[in-house]
Amino acid sequence: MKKTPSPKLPVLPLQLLIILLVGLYWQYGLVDTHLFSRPSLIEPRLVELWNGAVGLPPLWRQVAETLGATIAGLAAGILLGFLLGVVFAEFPLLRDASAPYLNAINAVPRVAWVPVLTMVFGFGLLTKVIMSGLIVFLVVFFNVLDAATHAPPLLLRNVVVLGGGRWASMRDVRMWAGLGALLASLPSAVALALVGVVFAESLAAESGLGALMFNAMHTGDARDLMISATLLALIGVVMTGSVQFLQRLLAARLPPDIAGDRHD
Amino acid sequence: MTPPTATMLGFPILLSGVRKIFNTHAGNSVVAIDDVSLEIEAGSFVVLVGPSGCGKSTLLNCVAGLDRVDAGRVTVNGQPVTDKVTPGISYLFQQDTLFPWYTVEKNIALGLRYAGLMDDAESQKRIDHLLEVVDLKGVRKAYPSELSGGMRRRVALCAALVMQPRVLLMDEPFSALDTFTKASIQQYLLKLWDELRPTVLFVTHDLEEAVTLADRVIVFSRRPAVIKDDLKVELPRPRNVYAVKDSPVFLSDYQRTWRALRDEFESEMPSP
Repeated sequence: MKKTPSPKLPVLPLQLLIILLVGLYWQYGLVDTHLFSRPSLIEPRLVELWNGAVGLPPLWRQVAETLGATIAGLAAGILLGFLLGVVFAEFPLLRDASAPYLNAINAVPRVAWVPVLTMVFGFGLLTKVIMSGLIVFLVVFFNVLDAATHAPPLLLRNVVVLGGGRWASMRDVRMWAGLGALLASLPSAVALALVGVVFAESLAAESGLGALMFNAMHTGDARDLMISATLLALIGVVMTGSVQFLQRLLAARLPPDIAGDRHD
Repeated sequence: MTPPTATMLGFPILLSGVRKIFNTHAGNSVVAIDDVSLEIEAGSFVVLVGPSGCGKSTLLNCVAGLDRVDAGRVTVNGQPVTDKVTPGISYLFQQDTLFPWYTVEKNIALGLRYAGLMDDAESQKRIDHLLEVVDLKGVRKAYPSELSGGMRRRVALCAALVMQPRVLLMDEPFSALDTFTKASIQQYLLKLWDELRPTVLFVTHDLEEAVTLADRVIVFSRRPAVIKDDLKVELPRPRNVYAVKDSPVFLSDYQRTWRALRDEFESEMPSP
């Protein structure tokens, strides 16, 4: 597929223009400052939060905590989802026996896990990581399971004929079939990892951007609300960007058939 | 590669009274193979021809241990075939079975890896030798999707032969190739077969291919498959795949096979 060269130059200034206009309107336009605050009001509050306002951990630590929990949850969910997806595809008995329970877990609304996990793991970092890991796991696991179950039967038979066992089937066929599904589900996994962390933070945590946001909602502090929302958006953008970069990097190294770019 | 010795010769295969029944979705049972007995000499090249769906591939699967017979007996080298893959066999399927995520080299080495022979210097030599014989040395690091259909088949052939099988089962392996690509891979096959001398069971629809390659052509009837004819090909070896087509012996062998099979199709032939 040939890509038309994108006109790089006019896009960036336009993008900057949009943010500038929004910012200018926010500062000088008709805005309910109780609901939306203003950049000039937010700036001093940002400095205050950064250094640690009364009763709150410093903002940079909250950002670090949210980001750290997201990355940890993402990594754990992906790893576990991929491994179990491949293994369950190879052992149908295992898959069928656990299917009703896995489906039940999958059917429970994600938010409903927060109280349960908080009861068990407390109001700390662990709950957030597990919450985010659980959501990511469910997405990755079901996608990889499906792809690895439907791995090319001819190749699976060929493994048997060549003298390979279950380990060989997983390593030489199912894993690769699942890898494509994993790559494809990475962007949604990132988004969901962040969702999981913010869920956990807003419902049951003492620090983190989600907690800051929910506290702001309760106290009606538009400045804190704007700060935490903007920072979450930034984290989301940066993580999505890094994953897309990772995806491209992997796709370039993986053989053509997995990257979904067949030559024939 | 170790020069072929008498001990490397292929295994003899014996089928006696083999019967295979399939259960259809509708709940009927269909007799696919009925009372087939066949004695296949060690190291010979035997081609099975017959109408589509007559159970030739099933017969290969029964020899390979991928399918079990409903009655009768199959032995390879005197050992009865079990539910496990028969030791000493390699199987080249009709469909493309290369692993798209592995390079040519890794694809060929897979069986060796399973056998724990990968680090063997001898194994490396074998791979090098095979790639050399089939003229694929230049693409050993390429992925299957970067190769033509004919090249992919050659890689699959190497992957089957690298195990130095005593029995080579081939199920319409070249049916998707054009005439000239087919002729060239047939020549590669004969060359490699002559080095190792495994017993070959080769299923095809192509009578020209059957006569070109075989010591013996076995003609099956329609389902339920019984052996209709058993023809010895008189062409001398080693054979030049391109040159044999001009020989009068080829023509007469071809005609004999054609006549043996013709009756099976006569009923459904439209009148000219």
